[in-house]
Amino acid sequence: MNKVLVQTKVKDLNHFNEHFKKAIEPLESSYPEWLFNLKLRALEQFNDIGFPAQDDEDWRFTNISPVEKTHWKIATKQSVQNLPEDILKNVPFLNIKSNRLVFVNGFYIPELSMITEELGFIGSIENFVKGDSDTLKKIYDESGLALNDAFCALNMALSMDGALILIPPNIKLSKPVHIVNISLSADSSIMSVPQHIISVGKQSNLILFETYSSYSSEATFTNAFTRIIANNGAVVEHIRCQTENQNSYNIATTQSCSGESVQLSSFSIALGGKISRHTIKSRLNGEGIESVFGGIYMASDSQLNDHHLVVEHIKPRCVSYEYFNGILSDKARGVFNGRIYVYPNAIKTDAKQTNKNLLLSDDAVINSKPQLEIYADDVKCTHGATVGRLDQNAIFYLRSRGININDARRMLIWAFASVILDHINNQECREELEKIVADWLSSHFANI
Amino acid sequence: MNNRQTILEIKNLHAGIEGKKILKGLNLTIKAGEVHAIMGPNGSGKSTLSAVLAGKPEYEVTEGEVIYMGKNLFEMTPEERAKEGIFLAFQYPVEIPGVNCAYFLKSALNEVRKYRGMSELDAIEFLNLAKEKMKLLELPEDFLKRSVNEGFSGGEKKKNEIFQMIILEPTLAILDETDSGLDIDALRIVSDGINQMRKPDKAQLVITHYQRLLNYIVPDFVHVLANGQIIKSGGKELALELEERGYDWLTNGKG
Repeated sequence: MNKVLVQTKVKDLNHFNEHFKKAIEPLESSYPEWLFNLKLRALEQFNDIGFPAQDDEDWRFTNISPVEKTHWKIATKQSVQNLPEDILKNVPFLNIKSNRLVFVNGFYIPELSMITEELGFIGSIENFVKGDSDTLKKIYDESGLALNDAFCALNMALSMDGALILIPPNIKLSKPVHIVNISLSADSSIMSVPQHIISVGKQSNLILFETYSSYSSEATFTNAFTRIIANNGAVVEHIRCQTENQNSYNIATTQSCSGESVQLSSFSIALGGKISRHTIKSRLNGEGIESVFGGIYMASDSQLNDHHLVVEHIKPRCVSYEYFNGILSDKARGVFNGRIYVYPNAIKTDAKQTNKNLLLSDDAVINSKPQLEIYADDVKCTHGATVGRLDQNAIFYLRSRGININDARRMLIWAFASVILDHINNQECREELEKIVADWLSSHFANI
Repeated sequence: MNNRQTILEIKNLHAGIEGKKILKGLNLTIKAGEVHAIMGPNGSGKSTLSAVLAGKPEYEVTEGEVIYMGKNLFEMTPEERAKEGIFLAFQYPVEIPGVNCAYFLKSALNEVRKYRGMSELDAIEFLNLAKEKMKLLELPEDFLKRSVNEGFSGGEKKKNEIFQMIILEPTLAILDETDSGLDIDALRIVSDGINQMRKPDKAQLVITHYQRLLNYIVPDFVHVLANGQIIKSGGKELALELEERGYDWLTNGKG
């Protein structure tokens, strides 16, 4: 007789509920009704599903029990008072002139932010929601809620602040917008829950930087949720760079929805975190969209870096190119899951996905899973995943020209990452990333 | 001739790969100003010889010695050999995506210059030098920005090898089947490049399967390599004889 064992999830989610009671409920009157109800629903949903276990296919290779077991102290506004003077010291891209929105532990810090372009709205959600809540509701409705994901639900329930960027139609900002996220943990394990919302009007252009860094080396947990809506004809380049410390956990979702003829580039550069997971969900919901998704993950020691990418081709004649390269050393682990979903009427879809991995040690591991689900005829879809070591013939070629063996290796690792950066249009950002990658290589591979 | 410096002296060289013996007692002396051609049938060990001289790690030397400019070659790493002035033009140049030609060659040149006690070239000095030499080889303008050998045609790859050689100015250039895959025009351009490096203080070792290349690069000595040994040496006329008669008359011992 077969006995079916049902594994019951015993998870202590109480402190999230307590925090909700203590921090969010008292603010009920300051939220529009629909938003507060949404938060209640999200919390309920989170309690229902709990944190994902490894029997969940989407989390098979990423064991998040360390996140679950830690009793996180959810950041409050009080935690970001009296900030250290050099709070920005580890933030990437500061050399690039931008409209800068600074969030520490998920809370907007106006004194550190600099908005020089008064077009539409560039600021914090918290400030906005008190005024024009209808606009915000419309955006939530348009972008879909994804509450079936535990981390998105938790973010929706607990998030109190984040960036809100509303670009009206036919606008070209002269500078990028930089959403700076800093984790700051003084004495206890702090959890931040920023939620960022970006809506780019028809025919408008936006270059968006989103950075996540740590002020110091203490453990923190960032649960971020970013939504991007690109309206018809918009041109959006989104570059996310995560360089948190190696004790931190960063679990984030970027969800984008594009209209007709949008040009969307979305890059994810992930170097930090003990466990970092970036879920990228993109809906190509208009004809003739051209999209590029690029990513570099570099992990050493016992870091785990996970990228989950879902691109949905909903309408005909859309292009999506996906290039993700991973570099893993020591006992690091990487996960790449790339799914391209082609809807029945999305004819003339052109989708191409590659995931290349460089393993620099015997103990490094990559789990790569490309997936194509095609329900339309007349489409062009390809995918490929490779796992390899440094090309010994290439090393010898470089050495035979006088380049030292360690420099030759570094040059090849660097090249492996830089082919992804070459797809980034914004030159200043590309150059900053080249430096970040090079610095990372020289500090991690000084002795290879 | 005799008072010229000896650049390379190979004595009783035995070498192979993965336990397979390929070179079986090879002897060869190359002096400054000389161009030597090594010809031989497929599998005779021509490419093994070039790989061993350049220091390709998977090759194993089991016996014999090689003295380069008075130093034991086998005590030097591949990069040290390059800095000491050995250059191998690869039969199959390696593609290196993401490393552009300019960055690669400037790094190599400055390593070599540093080693030779010369000042390093800055970006502009390098660019001026590179552009001048690129003209010689009729390389396209965007060449320096392209990834090393990636997507290059067969001819471009071989030109790139010779371009690197001209920039790095080696004392001993080893040209491994440089003529393979070249059309007549490219062969002429590549040969002109090689001949330009023919100088009294330098030497060249030209490895080729066919006599064709030797119409353009006229050697002082021709050696026939078969079964891991040099079985016959002569002047440039030996190449013509080989073209006419093939290798069989030598390898069958009927010469």
